[in-house]
Amino acid sequence: MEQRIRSVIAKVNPKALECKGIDLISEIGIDSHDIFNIVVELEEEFDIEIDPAFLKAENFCSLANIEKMIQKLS
Amino acid sequence: MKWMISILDLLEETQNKYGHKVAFSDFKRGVTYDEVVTTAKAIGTALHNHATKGAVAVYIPKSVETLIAFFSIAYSGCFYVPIDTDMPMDRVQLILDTISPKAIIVSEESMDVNFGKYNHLKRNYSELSSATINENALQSIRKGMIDTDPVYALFTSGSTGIPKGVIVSHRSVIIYAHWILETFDITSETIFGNQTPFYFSMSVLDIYATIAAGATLQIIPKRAFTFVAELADFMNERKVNTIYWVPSALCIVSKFKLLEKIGFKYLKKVLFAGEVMPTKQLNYWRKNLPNAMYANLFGPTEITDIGIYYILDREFADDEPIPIGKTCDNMSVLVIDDNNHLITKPNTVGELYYRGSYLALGYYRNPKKMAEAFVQNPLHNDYPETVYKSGDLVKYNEYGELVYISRKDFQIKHMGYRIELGEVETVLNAMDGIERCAVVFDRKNDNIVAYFESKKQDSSTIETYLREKLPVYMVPNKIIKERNIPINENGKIDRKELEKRLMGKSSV
Repeated sequence: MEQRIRSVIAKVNPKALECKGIDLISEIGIDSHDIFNIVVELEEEFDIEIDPAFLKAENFCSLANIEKMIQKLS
Repeated sequence: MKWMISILDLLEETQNKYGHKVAFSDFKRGVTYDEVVTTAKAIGTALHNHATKGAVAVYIPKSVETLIAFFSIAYSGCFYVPIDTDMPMDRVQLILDTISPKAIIVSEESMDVNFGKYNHLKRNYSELSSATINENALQSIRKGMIDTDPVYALFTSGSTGIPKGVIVSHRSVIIYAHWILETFDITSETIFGNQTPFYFSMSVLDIYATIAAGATLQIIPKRAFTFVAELADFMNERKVNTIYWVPSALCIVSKFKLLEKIGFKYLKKVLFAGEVMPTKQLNYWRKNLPNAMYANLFGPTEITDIGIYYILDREFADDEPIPIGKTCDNMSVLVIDDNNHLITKPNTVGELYYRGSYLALGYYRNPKKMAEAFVQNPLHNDYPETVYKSGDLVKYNEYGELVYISRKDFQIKHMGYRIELGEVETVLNAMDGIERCAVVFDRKNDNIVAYFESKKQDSSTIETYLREKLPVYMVPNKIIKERNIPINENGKIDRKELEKRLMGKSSV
């Protein structure tokens, strides 16, 4: 699952392939447009819908937290 | 009525009425008007031992402290120069070289930054604020002040790459603040949600309308514009009812469909400026926040903040531009054609000149740029009257409202035609599924290049659409899909970066 998430994010920001995935905000420096594209890609890949209420740093700060969010939503 | 001489008069008058009320607040803490004045006086006293005239730089990450530092510098008799703490050090040095600062105020967070040959001028905010206030010294500084003394210098990027410092007087700021209060009914009930950086002229409205009205300014954490659920939480928890943002920030909200899903519960006034607001995105806002007032504000740093405004009073189709409207009180504009004649009839494009009390004092230590932009009124030579030549092209519409066309240097000649790239952008922005776009000109190869962000559309569907909507010579030669159109430090689309990318490519 983590690998799938990583490759989804890498589509938006290729640095994701190399990073540790513990602190995405400082490791790859995501901004609002990255987040938008990541959301679109995650929704497609995992067949989920991410409501804007989930767009908090805590849900996107690491690969593990993104995984938790996806599990909550699917 | 007491005549106001400095912004300190504005601040202290409000302190007398609303001393215990929160003036400024950031993510961590809020400060009352009493605290602002007390701390600013302490720092002002401490600074006064270094200088009573000249520039003091503020190098503090955006926070309540940054704002208090501004007022403390005014108390010391100096003027403040806010510096972007994310700016490359080379550019910081250029600014410091221009202003020869008397001091650089830093916070604990920026204490370790090395300012090279200016490093010995670093003063720590918290040390300065522990000074004992010397009312006598501060009073004698006040006695020496007049309203045409400078309050601040804001640096904008010049076309040559050397930053220009626009220096603005107390008088301009005071008059501008009063106009804002009257026009937009800003009162002690107003809670601003501040987005724009303090080194950017739009923040002058947030800061000075706040202190003139006894309102509250809430500094929105930058991160909230990345993680928009946090933006909605902040806006709702802090009960923000008034915003003055760049359109790119408003577009983040529409892009994530935040208004229909979560919403800003207290928001009543939406002002914007700094770049063209795409009408389609504005229509999203008006549809989902129908009871709010919307206003398009327009003006450069050289006239304090804005000189022209339009409060939306009718519907606009997605492909219609929003007018910039009419002049503020005590400001006047001239629309001048290539032969230096005044344009008054609709639909004729000319360059915009400003007259009035909001005009900045000029550029700091830059007589050459000063002479180019702050010029004698081209319509007469009867007496000295300085007007600001803006470099913006505008026209009047059939309602007598001004409509922005583009920057003068944004108007291009292509295939023998004179083209406004802004017009191409307006058409492209109106297309269904276009999230953002920017159209730039590749002079070297004589190509119009359109960049766009879209999930739905691709280069060929866009080309078909533009061929239907535009004359063939205006259709971009290249249409490039981007995941991320770059944004500059003010949150606006970074055209210079796009042009740089083109130059980089075309030189290969």
